[in-house]
Amino acid sequence: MPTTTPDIAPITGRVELFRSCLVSTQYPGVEAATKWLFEQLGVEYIVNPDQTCCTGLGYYTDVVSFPTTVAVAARNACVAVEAGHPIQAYLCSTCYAINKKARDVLEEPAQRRRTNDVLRKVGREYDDAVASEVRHHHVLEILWSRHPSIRGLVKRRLSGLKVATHPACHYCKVFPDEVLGDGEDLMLPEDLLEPTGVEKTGYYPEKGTHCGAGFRQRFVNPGMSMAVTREKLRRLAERGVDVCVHMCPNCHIQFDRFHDVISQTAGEDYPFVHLHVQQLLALALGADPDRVCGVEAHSQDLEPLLERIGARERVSVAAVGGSAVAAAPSVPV
Amino acid sequence: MIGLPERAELDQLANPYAALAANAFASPAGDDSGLLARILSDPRMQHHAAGLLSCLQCGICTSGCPAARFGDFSPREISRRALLGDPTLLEDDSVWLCCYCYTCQSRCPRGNSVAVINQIIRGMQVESGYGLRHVALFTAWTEQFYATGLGGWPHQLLDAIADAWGDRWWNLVEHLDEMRDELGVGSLYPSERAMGELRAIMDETGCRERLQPAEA
Repeated sequence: MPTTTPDIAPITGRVELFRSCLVSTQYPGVEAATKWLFEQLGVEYIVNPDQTCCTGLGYYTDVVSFPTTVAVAARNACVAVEAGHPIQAYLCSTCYAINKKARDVLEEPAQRRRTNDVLRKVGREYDDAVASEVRHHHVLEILWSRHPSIRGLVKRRLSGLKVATHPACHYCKVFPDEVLGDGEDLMLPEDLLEPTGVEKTGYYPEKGTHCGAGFRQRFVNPGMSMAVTREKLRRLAERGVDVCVHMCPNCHIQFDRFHDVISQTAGEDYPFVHLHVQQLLALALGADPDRVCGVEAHSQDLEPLLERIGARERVSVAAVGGSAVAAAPSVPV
Repeated sequence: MIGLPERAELDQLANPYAALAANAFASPAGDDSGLLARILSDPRMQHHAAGLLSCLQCGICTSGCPAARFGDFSPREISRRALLGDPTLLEDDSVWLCCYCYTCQSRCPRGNSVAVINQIIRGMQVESGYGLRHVALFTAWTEQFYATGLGGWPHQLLDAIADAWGDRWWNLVEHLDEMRDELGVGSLYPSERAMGELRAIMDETGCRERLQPAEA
């Protein structure tokens, strides 16, 4: 299947890897794998302790108002620029959408004035300099901008591994004109993985359906939430995928944590697992499944997959002091 | 009468249907709330105001809506009632079924966003006190965010979540710090400087007071 994601120039500016509350507390390996990939691909980045959570879960459960959210986003832009790393790179698609929405709203003079009245209390200002410097990118866009380098870095070929994308709504649908590719049939994750030899799934029925989480719905209307998730799991099973890759931790929670629950409740078999795009890519490039990808945090049993792609043998090699990456042969699957 | 955007503003929106639609919906019967004007003037509607005004009730929003498919919700109806300035929206429980997936917004041929309209109406319901029942499960998020800089799960549901998600998830909860250490991802929390600024922003924008029921 040919690559359809549009090529973009390398994003060479200085990056602030924007920490995500859900990645930090649920899948910290996603952050570690992203850093590891940035290092492999020569992306200059920092993690900024002055950055705060975007308010996303509070905003989308309607306990945080929009003025608070915009002020927090404006402040985070200020601290990224202050640190000299104005390219905010998002691990979470909700962080991505919220900060872009704030960017647009802050272009309106009345809204910027109102927000700056708040920021003045903390000695900050979202001014033209900040607005012109700060940039917003999903982490996958940063990686894609360097994708020609990936092929030469592959240590574990993923040949025969069938991969499907769960496109994150807050990446694809909030700013559809800014998506890298077609938001209704996003191929960015699979195209990023192409040099590893995966078999791409492309479009499948329900591809554009959301994960089911719906913020409050997961807790308040679990029946509706699970019904949505189940539809997607069934369609993915029909297509015979091995791994469904994610680009948003909230989607990842919905699928990883509920996959077996729904399977048992519905009496249906969904023989595949969920990983973040960065985790699967890092594994293909030779990363350690535990110390880089943090697979222990997942609810699904990932061991069969790790064995299949030859990522488990490396742990024992590393345990006796060998170089985990260099010592391992490429394992065709 | 309801206050619509100035004609000049509508013209700036460069949507050929906007002026037509503004006339068509300018005098809905029974609206004394100014609700349509309040929705249109919300900053989040900046790229969607003309879209709402030119909604032609095609229903593409509803055809892709998970809450319409699996629940009793119609984004098309919300759009129609918003255009009419229907004040019963302010006590409508169905807006709380929206999943904020934005499928309606991304597919709307007019650039309308029912997801955004839902969020605006939910905010109005919270601020009037009516909607507090719908957010009661989540208000602790704000307190935890104020205290630590991180949100959390609804604590009332923690046992149920743990039951559903099982031992592996409890293992994560109990060993998160060790896992993070092994992964070298640093502190879970923002800096003290960031926390001070975050709390000041939350205080200044009335973030926590907003969730208190009004005194009788």
